[in-house]
This record gives sequence, C-alpha cells and structure tokens, in this order.
Amino acid sequence: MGAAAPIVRVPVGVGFLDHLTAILIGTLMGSLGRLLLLHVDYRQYPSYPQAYVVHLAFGFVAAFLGSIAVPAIVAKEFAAASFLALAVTQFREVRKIERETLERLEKTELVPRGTAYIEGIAKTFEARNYLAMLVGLVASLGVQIGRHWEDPALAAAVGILFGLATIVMLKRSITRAVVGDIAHVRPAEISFDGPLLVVEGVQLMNIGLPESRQTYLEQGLAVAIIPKSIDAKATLGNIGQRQAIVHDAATLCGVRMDVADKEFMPLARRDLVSGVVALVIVPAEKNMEALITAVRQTPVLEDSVRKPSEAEPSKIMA
Amino acid sequence: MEGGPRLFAVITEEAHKVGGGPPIFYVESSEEKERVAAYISRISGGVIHDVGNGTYIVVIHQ
Repeated sequence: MGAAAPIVRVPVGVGFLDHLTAILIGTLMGSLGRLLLLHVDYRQYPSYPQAYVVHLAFGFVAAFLGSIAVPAIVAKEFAAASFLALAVTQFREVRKIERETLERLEKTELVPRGTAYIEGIAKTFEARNYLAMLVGLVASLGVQIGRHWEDPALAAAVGILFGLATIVMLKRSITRAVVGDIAHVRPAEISFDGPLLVVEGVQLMNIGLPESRQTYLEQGLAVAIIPKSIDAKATLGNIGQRQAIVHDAATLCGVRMDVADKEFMPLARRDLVSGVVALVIVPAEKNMEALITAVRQTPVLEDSVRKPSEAEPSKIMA
Repeated sequence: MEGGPRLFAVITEEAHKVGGGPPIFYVESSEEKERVAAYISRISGGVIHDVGNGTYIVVIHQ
C-alpha cells in the first residue's frame, strides 16, 4: 500500500497541478486583458457599474475557455478543445444582445447614435471577448512552454509574460482611427439664405421661424470637416459615420434642445462636389475649441470605411 | 430615416395658394402665422419650414 501511493500521486497529481497553473494563469491574464480594454469614457458605454460586471464576467468565461484549450490538447482530450466552437456561438450572442439593447435605447437619445455606430459598438464587444479568449490561450501556452525548465514559478512567469505581450500587441493593433486622422476640422460660419441655413455653401436645413434663425446665429456653432483623401471623402459620405460624429459632438458639447425642438437637432451634411462635411449644432455651451476636439476624436466606424483609391476606377480618374 | 418626413400642417396667409390633404390654418398676419406655427410644432414635435410664399409647413421628421 505504502509503495502504491507515490505511483498514483506522481502522474495524476503533478499533471493536474500543471494544468491548473496553465488554466489559472490563462484565465487571469485573459480577464486582465478584458479589464484593460474596458474603460468608462464620455460614451458612458458600457454603463457603470452594472454593464461593467456583465462584460467582465463574459471576459472571465472567455479567458477560461481559451486557457483550457492547451491543457486539453496536452492531455490528449481533443474533444474538449471543441469548447472553443461553443464559445464562438456564445459570443455572437453577446453581439446580438448589445445591438438590441442599444437599439432599444436609441429612442431615449436626444441625438441618436445611428445604426452604424451601434453595429460598430456591438462588434467591438464581440471582438473583445475573442481577444480575452486569445490572451487566455496564449498565456496557458506560455505556461506549457515554460514547463521545459521544470520550475513551476518560471513556467508561470513565462505564461504571464506571454499574456502581457499579447495584451499589449492586441491593444495596439485594435486601436481605431479617429475623424482627426482622416480629415481636417476647422471653424465655419453660419449664415441664412432666406430660411435656408447655410454653412460652407452647404444648405443644411430650412428654418421657418425668424426667432429660431436668430438662435442659430447667436448660439450656434459650425465646423467644416475637410477630407484629407479620396478615401476619407467616401468614408465621410457615409450617413452612419456622419450620424456618429453628430452624436459624439452632441454628447460632448451638449445640445440646447429637447424632444419638441427638432429644429435644433444637430446636423451634418456634405458638399456634393468637394465632399466637405458641414456640421451645425446649438451647443449647451458655446465653445468652438471643444466642438472641434469632439469632432476630431469621433471614431471612424469600421463599417463606414471605404477605400476607392485601392481600385481600378479611381486610378483611371486620377 | 424610416418612413421619411410627414407633412403635418400648413399655416398660410395666402388662402388661394394652398389646398389639399393636411390641416390648413389660415392666418391674418405674419405674427399670427409664427405664433400658430410655433404652437403646432410644440404639440406635434415637428419642424417649421418656410416655403417662401407666405406659407409655413410643419413637418415631422422621423
């Protein structure tokens, strides 16, 4: 009996402990990665603290699933690795839930986000769960590789290092471009041609009441968004992209309007020839610098990006 | 964007220039026109547009 104990203990015990380290480090690093990608900013999305918990929990599960894959393969449990496929289905659900929530909330927004922005946000949340999973996978792989030195502490350190490197790399590679990268933003004049509100030669809206026109002239702010390239011109032409800019400008600078004051709804319209986008808003506080900064830092939506310059026709035109 | 804009009411000083479907409010002066248009837009959540011939229209932009 006394001799049998070590025979049972050594292979099962050590193997299990090693796998546990891999799973633990993987899950920890994946969750850390998800936490670092979550940040409360002006968008207030995800909302704090409830939605935060939801996303951290999802991130934890993703990281756990990711970190199981390598130990499962090492233990020759190939079927267990198919867990990952299940996870993919689950995270697609995350995207659906995010989209539905935001679409429902759209009715409560004074200045709507627009479907393109919502789709972008939903996609981001799905993608970040995959990232948590990937970090978990790479970190547990690191632990597995570190086992060659036969020092558990060293194996854990290699895992953590692998995890951190993946987080840094991913964080850098998924940073999105902002409007300031693809266009110049400068102040513009508001004027009226009869009842027509005109900015930069672009007719934005017909304002009937002289009183409202006066409000625009006194309190309104306008900027011209000038695309830097033919691609930027096409991107800024996207209605969803412009709605995103308007939404962010309204969120950051405030809007002097309520439900019944639709004539003060901020707008962005483009010049048909030059592609310059004119944006007008009656902000809560009249500060041009703040508006320009808000417009510049609006993300360029993945779904609105166009690259006509990469194709044959635009080369013929040029 | 869905549904598009809907013409909710017409407010005019020029009775002979307007006719048709939506409710038409005939007014005597431009002050009255502005006041009536402002009230209707408040109620309907629509936007007042000036079509230039002494007529305002209230349009609901969906």
